[in-house]
Amino acid sequence: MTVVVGPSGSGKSTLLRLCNRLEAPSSGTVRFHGADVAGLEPLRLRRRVGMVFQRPTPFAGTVRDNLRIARPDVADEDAKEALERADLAQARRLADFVLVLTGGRIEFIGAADEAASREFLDEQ
Amino acid sequence: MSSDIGWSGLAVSLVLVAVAVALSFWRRLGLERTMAWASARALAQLLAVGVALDLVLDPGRTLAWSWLWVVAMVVVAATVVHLRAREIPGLFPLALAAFSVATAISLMVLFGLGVFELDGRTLIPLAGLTIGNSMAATVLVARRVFEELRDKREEVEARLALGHTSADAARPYLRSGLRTALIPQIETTKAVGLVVLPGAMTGLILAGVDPIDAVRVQAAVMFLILGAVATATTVVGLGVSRRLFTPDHRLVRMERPAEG
Repeated sequence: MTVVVGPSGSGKSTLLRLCNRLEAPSSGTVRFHGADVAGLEPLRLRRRVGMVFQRPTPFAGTVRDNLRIARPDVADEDAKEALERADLAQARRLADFVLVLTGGRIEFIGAADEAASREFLDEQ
Repeated sequence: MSSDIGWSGLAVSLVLVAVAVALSFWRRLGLERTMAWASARALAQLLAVGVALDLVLDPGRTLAWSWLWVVAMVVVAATVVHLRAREIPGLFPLALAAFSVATAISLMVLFGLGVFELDGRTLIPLAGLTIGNSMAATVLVARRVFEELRDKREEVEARLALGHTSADAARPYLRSGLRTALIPQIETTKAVGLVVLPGAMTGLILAGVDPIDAVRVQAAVMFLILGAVATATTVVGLGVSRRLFTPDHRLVRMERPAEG
């Protein structure tokens, strides 16, 4: 495991963004297993290099909808397995809704009828 | 029935401007000069256009002049759209393409299928309706797609990081932009006749045309506008969302306007 440490603004995020080509270097090269990433197909590179952002950015909809953004044809079995591996299987069901509150906090709520009946207060 | 209000009639209608000016003065809105200026400007512009149209539509003149007029309208409209949303890169050529495509499709249907007879008197007003009515929606979709992709950068990049192409990553924001731009036109189409008698129909009825004939023209015009707005917004929406990504599927940096 490699850990990059530095004060905020020192470029840790930029370094990671360079690794999967969300950013292009103004000079120099970024190499992945010895190959210049500029020569790699960006979509394949990004599917190979998983990225977890500093601020979580879930998408609207259910847990299942979110997993389908990464893999549109994911079967429920595989989706459940993924939740298990992330240690979320106990707490989350695929049909749960994902909500983001300000400050990047994520809230999961139960099935659709419950989602419709609950009110959410936003903390600023 | 006479449709000619004459110069004296026009002069009398200025009383209505005077009413507006008087109200502004009474309520201290400070809009008297602006309103007087706007009215004078509108009159001068319309007179100039009237004189020019009179020349272009002269029966002895070739239709080429009318086509030239249509081209000028497309260029002016694209310029206006560009000036109204300067923050969006490369909007002028996109708007130019959007209005050209919308006008071409509309005119091909209307004249090609014989809905109207091709003539300077039909060409210029119909092209004008197509372009004029698409302008606001075009500005709206360009702004909306730009702002969505700028403000939801984290979401868009999360999609890109999962291996989505830029077209896939932009799709939800493009869809929401297009819906926002199209819904007002759909609402107008639904409400037509119930509250407001639309322009073309009002003009025809005032000019003494039978209301049923006026309705037929107006319905064709409404459909023309709906089709034109949908075409122009799609071209601009797609174009703006493409321009905001690099060929290697990166979202370009977008400046936020300075506060205040």
